Amino acid sequence: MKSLVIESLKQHLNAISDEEFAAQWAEIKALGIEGPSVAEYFGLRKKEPSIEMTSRILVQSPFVQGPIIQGDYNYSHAA
Amino acid sequence: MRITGYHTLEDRDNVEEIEEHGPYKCTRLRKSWLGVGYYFWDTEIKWAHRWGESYDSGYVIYKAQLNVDDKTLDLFGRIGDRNGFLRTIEELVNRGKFDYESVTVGDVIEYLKKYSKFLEEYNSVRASDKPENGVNIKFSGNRGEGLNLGGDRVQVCLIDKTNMLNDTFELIYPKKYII
Repeated sequence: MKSLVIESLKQHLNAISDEEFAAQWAEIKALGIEGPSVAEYFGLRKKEPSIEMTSRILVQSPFVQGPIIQGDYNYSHAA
Repeated sequence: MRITGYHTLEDRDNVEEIEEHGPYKCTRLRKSWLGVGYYFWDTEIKWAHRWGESYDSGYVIYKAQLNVDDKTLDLFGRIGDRNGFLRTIEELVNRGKFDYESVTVGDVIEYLKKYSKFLEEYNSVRASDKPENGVNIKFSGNRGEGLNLGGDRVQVCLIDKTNMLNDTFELIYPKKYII
C-alpha cells in the first residue's frame, strides 16, 4: 500500500479526538459490511504476554550423575 | 496486467438494460466484503456460476476486461500492498482498542476511503480466499517445501469503472439471451 495513504491515515488519526474516532468508526460499522475479519483474513492474533525464557534449564541427564544445567557447556552422550 | 473478470447478477430478464448500464455495484452491503463497488470474479468463471446459484430466480454472467495496475490495492498478488494494509489495520486497532476479530477487511477499506487519501491513489481492490484445497507440488523430492496451486477464489472490486476497459462488458451466460 502506498505510503501516502498510510501517512495520511496517521495524520488524520493524530488530528482527531477519541470521541471523534469512535463516531467515525460507528458510522463505518453502521454500513453493516460483513465478511472476513482481519483476524481471519490475515491470521492475526492478539499478542500473548511473552513468557521469559532462560537458556539455563535444569534437566536430569540419564548419563551423568546429578542435574545438568543446559547452556553452561556442551555435553555429549557417554560413550 | 489485464484480467478477465466475471460479474454475476440476478436474472431479471433485463439483459439489454444491464448491457447498457452495467456493471452494478453490489447492493447487498453485507456481502460487500471489499467495500462498496462493482464486484468481479477474477479469471475463473466457476466462481461466478457458484455465486449465481444462490439466486432463486436464476442468474446472468457478464464478462469484461479489467486492468489490475498500480491503482489497484492488490491484497492477493502484491506483498507490499498486504504489508501496508496490515500497518493501517494496526493503526486503527490500536486507536480503537479493538479486537482483530471485530474489524472486517471491508470496515478498514471504507474507513480509508473516507478518512485518508486512499481514493486519490486507488480505484480498485483485489483479494482472495481459498475455499478449496490446492495441489501441492514439491520443489524437490527430498524436502517438504512446495508450491500450492489452485483453490484460490479471487475477486476484484472496482470502486469506479475506470479500470474496466470500454466495450468489453458483454453477456456470456445463459445462452438463451445471446443472439
